[in-house]
Amino acid sequence: MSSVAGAHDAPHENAHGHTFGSFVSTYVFSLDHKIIGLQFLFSTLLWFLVGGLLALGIRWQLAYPWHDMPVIGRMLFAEQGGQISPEFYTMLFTMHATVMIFFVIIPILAGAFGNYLIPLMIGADDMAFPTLNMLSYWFMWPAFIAIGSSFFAPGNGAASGWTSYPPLSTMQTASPGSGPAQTLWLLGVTFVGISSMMGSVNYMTTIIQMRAPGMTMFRLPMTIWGMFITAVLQAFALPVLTAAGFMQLMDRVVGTGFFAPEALVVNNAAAVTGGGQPLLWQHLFWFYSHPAVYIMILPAMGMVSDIIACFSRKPLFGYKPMVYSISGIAGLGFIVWGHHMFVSGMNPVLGLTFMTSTMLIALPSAVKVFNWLGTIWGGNIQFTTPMLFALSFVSMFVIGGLSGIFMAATPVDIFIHDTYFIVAHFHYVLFAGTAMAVFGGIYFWFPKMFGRMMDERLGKVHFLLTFVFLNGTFFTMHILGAVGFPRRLADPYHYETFRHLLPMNRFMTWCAIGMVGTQIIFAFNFFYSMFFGRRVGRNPWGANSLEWAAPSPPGHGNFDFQPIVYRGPYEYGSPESDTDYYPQTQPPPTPGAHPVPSPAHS
Amino acid sequence: MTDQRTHGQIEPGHGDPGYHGEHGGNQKYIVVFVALCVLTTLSFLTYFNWWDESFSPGVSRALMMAVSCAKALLVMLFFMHLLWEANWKYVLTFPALMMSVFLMAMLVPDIGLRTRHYSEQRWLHAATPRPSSRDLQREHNAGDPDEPPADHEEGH
Amino acid sequence: MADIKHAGDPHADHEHGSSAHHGHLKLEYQPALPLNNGKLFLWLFLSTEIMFFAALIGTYIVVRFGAPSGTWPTPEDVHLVEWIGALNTFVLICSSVTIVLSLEACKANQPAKARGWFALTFLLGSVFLGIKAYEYFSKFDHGIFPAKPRSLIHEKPDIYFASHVDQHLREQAAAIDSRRGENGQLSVEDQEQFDTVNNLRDNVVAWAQREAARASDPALAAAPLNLLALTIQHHHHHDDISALFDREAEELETDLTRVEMEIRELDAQLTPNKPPTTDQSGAQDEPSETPDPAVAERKLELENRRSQIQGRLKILPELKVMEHGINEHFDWLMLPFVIPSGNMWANTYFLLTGFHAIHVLVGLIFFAFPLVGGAVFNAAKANFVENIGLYWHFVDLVWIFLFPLLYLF
Repeated sequence: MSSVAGAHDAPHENAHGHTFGSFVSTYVFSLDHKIIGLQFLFSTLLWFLVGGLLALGIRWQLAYPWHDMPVIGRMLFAEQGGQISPEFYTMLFTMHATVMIFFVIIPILAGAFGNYLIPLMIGADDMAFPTLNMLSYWFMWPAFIAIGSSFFAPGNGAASGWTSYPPLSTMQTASPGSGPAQTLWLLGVTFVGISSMMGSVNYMTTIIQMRAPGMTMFRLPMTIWGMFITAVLQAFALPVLTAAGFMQLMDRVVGTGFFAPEALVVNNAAAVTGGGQPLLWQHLFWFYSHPAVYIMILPAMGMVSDIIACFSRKPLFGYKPMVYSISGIAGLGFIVWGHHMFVSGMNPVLGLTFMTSTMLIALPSAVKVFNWLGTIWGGNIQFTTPMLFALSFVSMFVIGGLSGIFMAATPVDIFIHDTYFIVAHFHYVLFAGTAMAVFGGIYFWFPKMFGRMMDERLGKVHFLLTFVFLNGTFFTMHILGAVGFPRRLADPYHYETFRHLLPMNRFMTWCAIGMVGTQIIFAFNFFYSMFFGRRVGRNPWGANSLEWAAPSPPGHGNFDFQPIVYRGPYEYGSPESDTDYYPQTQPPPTPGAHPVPSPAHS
Repeated sequence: MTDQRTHGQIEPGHGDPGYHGEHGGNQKYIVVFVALCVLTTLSFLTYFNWWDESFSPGVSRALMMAVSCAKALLVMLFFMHLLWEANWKYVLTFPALMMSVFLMAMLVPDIGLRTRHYSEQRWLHAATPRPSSRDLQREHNAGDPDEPPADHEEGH
Repeated sequence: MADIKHAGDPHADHEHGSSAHHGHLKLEYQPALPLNNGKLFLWLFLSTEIMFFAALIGTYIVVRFGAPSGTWPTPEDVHLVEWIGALNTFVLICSSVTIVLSLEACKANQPAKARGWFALTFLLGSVFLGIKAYEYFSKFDHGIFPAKPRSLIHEKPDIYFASHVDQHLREQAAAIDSRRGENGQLSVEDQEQFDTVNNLRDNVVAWAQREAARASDPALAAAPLNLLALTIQHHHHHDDISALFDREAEELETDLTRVEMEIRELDAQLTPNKPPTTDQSGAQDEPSETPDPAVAERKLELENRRSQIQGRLKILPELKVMEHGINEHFDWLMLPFVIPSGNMWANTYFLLTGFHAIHVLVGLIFFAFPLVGGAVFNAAKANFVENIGLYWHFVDLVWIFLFPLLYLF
């Protein structure tokens, strides 16, 4: 990493004898979007590990219910012979989801890739507001600390589900984890929200105002479109969650009753001041959290589009429809939140409204899938590691998307809601989809980040094992769900009808262990390649977009020339170019063609 | 500072003395200010007893909201200079407004009308006893006289 | 706002040359909007703020209009003074004008004038917050705040309310009792308060609880508890309440005569020469000349009742002259009181005005920096003043909706 930023700056600062100070300002409180992006990347990968281990805890209990849980069991439940408590299981799935959603997927997409790629891909030297950008990372730390200390509060962590539904979440006495652990959870999520808000407004300003001359909105790579739409979603949806989170915090700490019905009493505690409505939280929460589903997938879709076009050596099929469809997904994303509440006792009229709007989302999603297929069709496909991950994203997203349509239909949802079918659905979208795209993105942009390639052979082994194990783990969940196997239950085998599913659960658990174990290969490859990987030049993949025209790794200020953009980022195999790629910055050969003059405003 | 020049380039005239009279000077702000005060007074009229005696609460609420919207519009158009901005003003304000309205509308059936689905248990602890179905019907008829009376209590 | 870039200004580069003044190349951009980055940022931020306040105001609207019908408190119930709200509206409107005048002065390059308007805006903002603080404290003084485990506000006069009041009085009595000097004496004032507390416990709270328990019909049981709530706090219909007390006194007088008559009858029964009435007491191996225990018990009961009625009759005239109830009369004694849906009112009121006040505070901080830092309000500062002004107008906008919704609806 020593060669990342501004090699020519460092000696200059060292001359003043502030070696430590300059280290801190370069790598800790850096204003450089690339360093901030890498900070996000490393932090979130660390949390990825935590989330994965929590998932193994869940899987262990489902495969070997009430058996001595390895490590955790003996540490925390020695007096019960290592057998965890049901409340602990509740904590495990709550914190698994919280960590994965708020501390891994959202910050790794918007925080890590967004920060690193946006200025590079649009030809800017940095974000519009570098200080704000730095703060957006440093506001993650109160969140890290709050969630981290939640594990050490009574109950070992919040335990009311990542959705934090009242009254369970607003009653201090409801469960062992409902005390300080839940309050810390709320604070943590609120700080993540503040961080995302800062980031999103910054990204929007940067993308709107700081594109290189010639880089019109319709010449932006799909990754940037994904990031832009994500930023819009965050900006408009997050404030509602922040408001709701404050109300829940007040309900817990100050004693208001926004989400508490009249005279709600739990465990013989004093009645709370009531008159509110628990459903209010669900509406406000899902008003954010459904768009958040798209926050968690749109940047991944953008990245996959870029990777697929690059390794098919073909222009992206249907660029504008792609842009319109992600915008459509974003717009519809705001009016479908109710489909998470079909079984909540919500007014049936709303159910119908939300069912219809949810079904509509299948259209733009299908447009995207067909465009990816169209891009691959007849292409000169190079099966590099990033391409493998991108292709698996497309195929897995089809499965995850189709199972989503089941959930969109109210009558079907009433049966499969709260079964493993829904667990299968969102893991196909979030892990088999987004996480695979993130891996692909890391393999793809690693040479830009560190100036070295990741090992291809290890990468392919990593891909293959992950792909096999993830399907072993998550596909079986569909079968469980169709039988009615309930989610969020520490011991479903308590019911006679689910006992025969135990062997299948054991199989899934071993697949999950294999999946987590496989990531050791990735971690090794990542850190080994950072220091000993093959050195590469600016454009190892032969890609078109602007970031590949900058040095690898880019220095302070990103570009050592003024980038001027002549075309879109997907001009692969153009007859105008000698190579099968045609960088956005390469001037056209015909003498008559001029670069698009930069209008002050359109 | 490049800001001044930036501004100058985009909206020529800022910074030069000639700019001052561009949109009619400061007088328009004073006019808007007076309008805002008059409008505030208008909605404050609903406070007095004689107003309540002559108008129903629905009318005065509608008036107050209309007055508020008018005031908001005045502030946005003149004080926030939206009157003179380019078309981006619609992009930045309308989606948020539409989503706000949609959010509020979707809250109505479950929370705004929550007492129609209160359980016996909740009514037991609610601020008032459960209204009899005849009360509900009367209230309903008063609300929208066109609709035939209907029983709102589901399952009872 | 310090790191506003030179968006849309290719000419800036020509002056610096393309050499690195930050150690790297100065890049040219193609902005989509004719705005500086700071202003765009602020507008984007404001549209997120629209959503934030939409969630809050939306919550208020559905919670308020969804409340059980006819229960939402009137401003008078919760000590909300409409004209103070109107005054605050006026203050904010004034501050909106001053900030826009400051911006105009900035643009016209008149630093002294701009600074004056700017400082005046800061001042008006502070006045707004001051008035807000005054309003808050007047709520707190009347025991209106969202508090854990439950605030003093009760939704309805039920037995929980009565026992909460009783618990409060008990705690008060204990607190006063702990102030006894070494000789076991209370100061005159304390003694007076101590007597008042005990008087209220016996003849107001315990009375209401007992009357409610005695009633055979739940509908009748509600009446004494209702009266208890009105005794503690009431705002309007003062005549109606004194009429209630009058009627109660009348009824109690007749009760008293009836009780006394019965006591006299029992006295006659209990004279030793009288033979015992024929009842189960014969089964007991008591000598016949001892008074019949059941009759004695009944007599004791009636005497109790008599003293209760007498106590109640004694306190009724006192209660009658209290203008707005016990809480207003004895301001040192803050008893729980009944405001239907009062808790939700307090929750939403403090939520909405609180977040608005936080926004005002943030604005004031941004006003204070250049004022304290001695910034020169020339044309170069116009962008800053414009951006902070946009924010300030938004804060004004929110209040424009909050004022009628909270004070006048």
